[in-house]
Amino acid sequence: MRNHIIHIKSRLSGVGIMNEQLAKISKEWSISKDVAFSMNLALEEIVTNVIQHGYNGHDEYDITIRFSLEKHNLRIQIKDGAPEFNPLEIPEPDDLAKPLEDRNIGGLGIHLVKKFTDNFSYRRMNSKNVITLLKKIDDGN
Amino acid sequence: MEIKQTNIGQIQIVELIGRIDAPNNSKIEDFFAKLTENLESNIVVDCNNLDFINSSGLRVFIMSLKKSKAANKQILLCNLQKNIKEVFQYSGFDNLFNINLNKEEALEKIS
Repeated sequence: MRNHIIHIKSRLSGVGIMNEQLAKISKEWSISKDVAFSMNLALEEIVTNVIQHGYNGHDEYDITIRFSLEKHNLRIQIKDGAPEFNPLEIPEPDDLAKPLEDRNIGGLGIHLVKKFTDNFSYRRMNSKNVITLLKKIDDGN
Repeated sequence: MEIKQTNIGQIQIVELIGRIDAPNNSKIEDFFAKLTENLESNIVVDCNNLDFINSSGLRVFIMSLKKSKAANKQILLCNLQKNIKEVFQYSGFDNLFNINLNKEEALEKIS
């Protein structure tokens, strides 16, 4: 198993660094383009959610991200010190099949995380929010 | 992220090159807000070199579509990469946009 841990600040430049780091380890660990895309999307949605809602846009807080290459999975753990918030409790959008006039703008982020990962979990531990994303890497991806 | 803008006759062609990710979201949002203001021509967005999109990027497309409809103009996408298509499909955006057009087909549909 291989691990790579980064610490970013709760701001856009931090998200940029995170994306670059994911691209770098995807190359080093021979992660497929599809898996890298899926995990980048899921990770972005989670982290921008933490910055905007968890930290209310304050840009000086820390977010720790651990990338782990396991035998069958790429696992990413996101840890933040914002108030308790479980993104899995956000209701699913109910208007995905509706025509343009009835579509809400937004509310898609967490829905996409669920769609693009094989497992998505939340727990509150030692006053931290811990989100884990998992994507299988060995079933034709 | 690079945005190239050209015209073919009365049609505006917008080529998106790179990633619509969090660091680029406001740039894209500003560009399309301006583009769809007082819209007088149809638009084809060429996504051949668009490698990434997030939910904020999708929001820009739905807002642009709403504004173009209000102005009685069309906005079509073309050349979407496989991963980008999946994002549109999982979001139900394939009901709003034809995601399977190439550039020639898009131009033909619009003119």
